[in-house]
Amino acid sequence: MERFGFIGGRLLQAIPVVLGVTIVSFFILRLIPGDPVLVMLGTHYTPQRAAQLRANLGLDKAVWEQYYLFMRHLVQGNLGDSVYYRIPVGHLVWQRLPVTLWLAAYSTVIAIVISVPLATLSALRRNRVADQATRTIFLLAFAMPPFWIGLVLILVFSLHWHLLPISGYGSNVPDHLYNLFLPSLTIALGFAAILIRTLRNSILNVLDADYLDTARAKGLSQFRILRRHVLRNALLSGVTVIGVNLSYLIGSTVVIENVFALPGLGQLLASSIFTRDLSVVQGITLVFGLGVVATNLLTDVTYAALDPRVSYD
Amino acid sequence: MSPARANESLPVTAEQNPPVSTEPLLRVEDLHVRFKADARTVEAVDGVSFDLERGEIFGVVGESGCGKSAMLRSLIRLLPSHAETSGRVMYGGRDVLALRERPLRALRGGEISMIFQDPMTFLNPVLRVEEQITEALRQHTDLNRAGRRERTIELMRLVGIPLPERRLREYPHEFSGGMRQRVLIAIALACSPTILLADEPSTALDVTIQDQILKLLKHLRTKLGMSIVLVSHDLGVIAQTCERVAVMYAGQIVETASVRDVIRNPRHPYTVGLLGSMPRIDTDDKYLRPIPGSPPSLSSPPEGCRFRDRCPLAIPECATWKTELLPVRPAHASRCLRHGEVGMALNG
Amino acid sequence: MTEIAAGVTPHRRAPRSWAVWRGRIPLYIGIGLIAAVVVAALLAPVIAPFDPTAQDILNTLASPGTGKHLLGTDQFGRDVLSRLLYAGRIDLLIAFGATAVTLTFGTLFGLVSGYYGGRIDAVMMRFVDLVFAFPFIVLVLAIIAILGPGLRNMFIAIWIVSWVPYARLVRGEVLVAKRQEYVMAARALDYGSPRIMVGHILPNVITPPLVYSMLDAVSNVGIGAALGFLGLGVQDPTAEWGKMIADSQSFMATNWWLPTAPGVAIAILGLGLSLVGDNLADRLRAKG
Repeated sequence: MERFGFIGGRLLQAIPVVLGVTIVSFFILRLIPGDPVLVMLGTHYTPQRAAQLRANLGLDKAVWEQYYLFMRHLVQGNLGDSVYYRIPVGHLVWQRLPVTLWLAAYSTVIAIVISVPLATLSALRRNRVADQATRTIFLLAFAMPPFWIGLVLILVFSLHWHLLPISGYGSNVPDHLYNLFLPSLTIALGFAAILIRTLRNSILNVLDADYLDTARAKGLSQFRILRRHVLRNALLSGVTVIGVNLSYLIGSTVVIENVFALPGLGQLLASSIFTRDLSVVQGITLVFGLGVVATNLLTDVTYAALDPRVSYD
Repeated sequence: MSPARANESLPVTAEQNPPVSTEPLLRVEDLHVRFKADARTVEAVDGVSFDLERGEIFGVVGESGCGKSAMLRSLIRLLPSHAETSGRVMYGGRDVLALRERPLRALRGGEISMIFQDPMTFLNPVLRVEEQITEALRQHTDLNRAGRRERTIELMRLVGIPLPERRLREYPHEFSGGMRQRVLIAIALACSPTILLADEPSTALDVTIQDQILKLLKHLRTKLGMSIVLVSHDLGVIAQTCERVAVMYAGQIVETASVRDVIRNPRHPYTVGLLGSMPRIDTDDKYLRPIPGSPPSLSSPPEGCRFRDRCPLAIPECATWKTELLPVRPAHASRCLRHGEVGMALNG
Repeated sequence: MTEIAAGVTPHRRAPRSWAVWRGRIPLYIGIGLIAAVVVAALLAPVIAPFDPTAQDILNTLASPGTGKHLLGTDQFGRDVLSRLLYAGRIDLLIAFGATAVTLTFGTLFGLVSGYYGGRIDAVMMRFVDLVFAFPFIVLVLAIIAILGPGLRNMFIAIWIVSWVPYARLVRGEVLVAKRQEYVMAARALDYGSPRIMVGHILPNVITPPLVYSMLDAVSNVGIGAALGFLGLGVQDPTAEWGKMIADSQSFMATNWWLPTAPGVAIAILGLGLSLVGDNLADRLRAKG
């Protein structure tokens, strides 16, 4: 029962952040130097469109009234309209969200698959060849910008060896897995660079723990100890590490979608900046913000579920 | 397994019902423990030998760094990988130090168990207490789940944890310090070991709880016929609990005798120093009397007697003689050339 | 510790300086890499064989080694090597210029917030939480969307967003530091708050943000390059490594050195910064 109190508490704490996210997104359109309507409409400017846009945004009203209007639209699911595409932003977001979600999830899975074994190996073979090699390779991976890693992978796997496609998304699940492999791998490599280092440290801390001696004194085998005692505790720190860095992961999707021409939110974001389609920019920023808040909440809840020491505070 | 009956003794091992035998339960012969770090080697335990009799509580006392913990751990080979041991630890006709992995693991927890100093860090925080106890049962017995549960409750009751049925499912952090130590003891006793190794079990606890735990250990020894090796830096703890004691200094045993003899009639200057440095409420002393100087480095131990730099009885010969434990009286030995001249008079 | 009486031979150990030097190799390599990039960039006007913006339509997409083009030319006939060198100046500016500002501002923010505590702290930290609620790059892009693309706006965007981790980091350290005795002593001596903050607390909390700044510099170069790649950073005809990679993407299949050269340059700078960042921590900690 205590647990529900904890979740409730976290939800409550998240509310001001969510509000803050909406405020920040709100201001994107209001901080444009000059006339926002002019900037947004650009070459599509006509007096009627301008008037309509002004009315939609409530630009002639006081700021808090505008915000109220904005929030009212928001809860109705109305994120404004795209000038470039001539359809509601909400639709665009809805269309493209799955791609980005797929990419994010796929990358996380690959990153975990890479990081956990390597971090464990590094920790167990501390300072020996395996450890040094892993750390060096991933130091290099961290130093290279993700988009370049992506390009190199394309160069090698798509252009040179014709194993994987250069771009595109595919239309069903197996297609997705195939098409998204390279982009997800790209993100995962950068993410793994951070994960491995922190996971390794967590595992090392656990390996130092006294309760492992108790386990050995019971006559348990090394394998059993690893599985039951070390991993369980290391998992806890792992959850925190991953959770903390998820915002970075989500951000990586933006650039990578552009490298691999994936029809996701990130690609839309970049192109909308070019076309000055700022309603779309606002909408996507909002979605990303909410996404980060949601994943942070999820991390907290997962951690609370796993660690019996957590109590509602 | 019979259903739990609160005050029945736990099923005993074969060793407790045989005709009384004069064979010691455990015989340690010339035990050495070396730690290697970079280019240096530290001789933490340098030629320790002793016997453990059935049903006795044997104490090992010494200051921090004298090697007593390393020695205790080496008895079931619970040392870090950069440690080297040599010598023999004879138990049940076999040398523990030469055992292969499987038999060693069967021994650990099954016949020789160990409890540790700080119950907070020696219990896994994310596992329930029940799981940590049944883990030992699963390893060494073939009880089914119900059997294990019963046995766990029995054990918890045995070590004095109230309401065991309810507290089974709790986590270590939900117990107080003294209760946690009892959990550790319960884990150690799970498979009715013949020997319990206790590494400073009361040091991290409040004085009143300390007393409870030590009394519990004595009670368990009587009830289960178990032998205990109790390591502590606190002579008071040893005096309260043990029958015989070995005094360790700089990796070696310098005196061994019954607890009575060691306290009433110490035969090594270090022991005298230890006794004299204990805070006492029955004298008028205003100041503590530490032993002057400090222990020698164990990476390059001095020749001859290691205590000579701090010893009021030291003579030139002490620097050259190859030290050994000299018999003083039956069951009383000392590693001092001049043991005959050591007396409480020294302490003034 | 009293010395052992005579008769004991001390153990022979390896000379200390060798072991220490050997452990510092990664740090030195890192410094070396950074230095190499800095020197090359600074000397760009001197050593660049060509004008980085000079186009030569007769000589487009030349392979490395053609004529005097050591690294070939791009699709406009511009010498890759020269562009590489001049681009270095931009990227180094991002690495150090952007990071220096965010380090300073973030540290001060965290210092004030942690030291004063109370409501000031609560408000400031709400603000920090807010920035952390978005992925960095999204915020940077949003700011670029508002201000428009270009090098100057890129700096502004990074400045607005990147100081936040420092603030959080420093605040945490300050919360611990202000309970220390030396702070109480300073207060007892009636030192003013600013003096305590800067003179006493700051030196003790400066290490983590400094270490972080190295890795942050890598990240900022990455952001700058990514923006360049997206066409939202530096604009033509200025050279910037990320932009060079983007421009050459279409020719990647046939002229692989075009995206590779600037990529390697970024990697070298990034590696240098990472090595220094990783190893600086040990070094500073050892000094205490």
